[in-house]
Amino acid sequence: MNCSAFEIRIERLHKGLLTPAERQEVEGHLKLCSSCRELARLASVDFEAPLLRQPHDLTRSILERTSGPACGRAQEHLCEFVDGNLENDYEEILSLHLEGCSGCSALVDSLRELKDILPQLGEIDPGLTFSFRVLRATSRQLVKPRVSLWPRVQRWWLRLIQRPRFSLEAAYLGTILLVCVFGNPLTAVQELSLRAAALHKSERVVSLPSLALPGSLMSSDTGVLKSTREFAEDLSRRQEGLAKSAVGTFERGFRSLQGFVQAEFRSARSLPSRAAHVLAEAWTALFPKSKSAR
Amino acid sequence: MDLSEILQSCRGGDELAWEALVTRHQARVYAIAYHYVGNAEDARDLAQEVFVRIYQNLHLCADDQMFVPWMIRIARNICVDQLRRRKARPPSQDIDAAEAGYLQAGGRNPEEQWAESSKKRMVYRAVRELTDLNREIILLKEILGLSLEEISSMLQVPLGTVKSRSNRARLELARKLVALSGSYNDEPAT
Repeated sequence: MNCSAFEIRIERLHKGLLTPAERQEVEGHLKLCSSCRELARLASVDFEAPLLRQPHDLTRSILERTSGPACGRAQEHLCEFVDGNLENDYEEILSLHLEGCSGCSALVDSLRELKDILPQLGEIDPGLTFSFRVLRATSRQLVKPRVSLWPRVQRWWLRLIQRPRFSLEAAYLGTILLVCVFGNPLTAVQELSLRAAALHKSERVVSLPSLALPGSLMSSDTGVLKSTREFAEDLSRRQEGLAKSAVGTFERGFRSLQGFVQAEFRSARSLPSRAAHVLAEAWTALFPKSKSAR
Repeated sequence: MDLSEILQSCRGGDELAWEALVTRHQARVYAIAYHYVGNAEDARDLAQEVFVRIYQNLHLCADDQMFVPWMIRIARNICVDQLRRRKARPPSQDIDAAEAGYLQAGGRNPEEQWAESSKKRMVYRAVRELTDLNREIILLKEILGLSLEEISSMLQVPLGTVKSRSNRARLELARKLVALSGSYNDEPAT
């Protein structure tokens, strides 16, 4: 056995895991090699070291002289540690830190308590009268909840058109609108009647041109105006004749209609007596015995 | 009756459903207001205002599944507005015995009740000592249980920032609690 073969087996030697053959080889090599004997002695001290009591602040002292305290880095992960969201490897080394750090472990305990207690603060009973006060406040402010614009317009329109006087009001508004847009249609007629009255007072012949044309033009004797006036008067006479014949036709038609209505009315007046007669005949036909009995 | 049905009835003007909604969520809204303003009377008024706002704007909450985050958002906005109106955040303050009534624990025996209750009071005190942002993150994430995404959208802060802030806030709270426990334990027994 050489020295490197011994170094491979040194750990198993101190743990007593070597086979008898290997042990014999190792012991033979130790008798011959002084450096390996020294190594075996030191190794036995090293393997027994964990059994010795360590100074309680050894780790902290070492960290102070090397990287500094690890609490800052540990506290970055405490919330994830408490929530169980930390990776296994990191959880293990954080647990090692917590074993030796009372400050961080107190924080972990505190975080665990908070995790239980904080959700319990989410609901607080406001007292028995609270809901009554809320209901009173809401009913005072609004009878019904506010609805969006379109349904409100629809409801308003339905209420409006279902009013009994809506058609009259619509006609009235429409008339006012037409008058506002096109002006009063009776104004021209009104002026016409005033002019006719003025002409009648002056005892002149009342014709349509004299009504339509202003007085200055009517009194002018120029040739064009004279012929125009004659033509207009002729036209007026023709219109008058046409109107008279139309009136005669209307009167004749009205009289014939009147005669027809009167005849119908007379026949309608005799209808009850005729109906009674027909009923009596039907009665005697249906009940001949009652007639003989009488 | 699940939340969607209750909300549907509320939108139809059903007062009974509205009462059920208020009763079901009042404790949470009141807790939010209490954690923000740190005063029972103000918290009650603010919680009331939150419900009035919810009632007026119920039609704006289109997704029923998002009702709770929406409600928390309204509560938070109202509380923050209130604090802004005061021009300053409320100072840290100890809670008196009357106001601490809600922190009573539900333990099995008086000793356990007292221990748990005193622990809650200490946690509440530690929360009050946090900075504004850390307190808000602790409230939203740890107390109300909102997700990081919801908090990010609510506070208009990047997701990574919320995550790192959340861990830092928890750690700060844990340190405060350790310090308070130390001072509590150091106090002479009376």
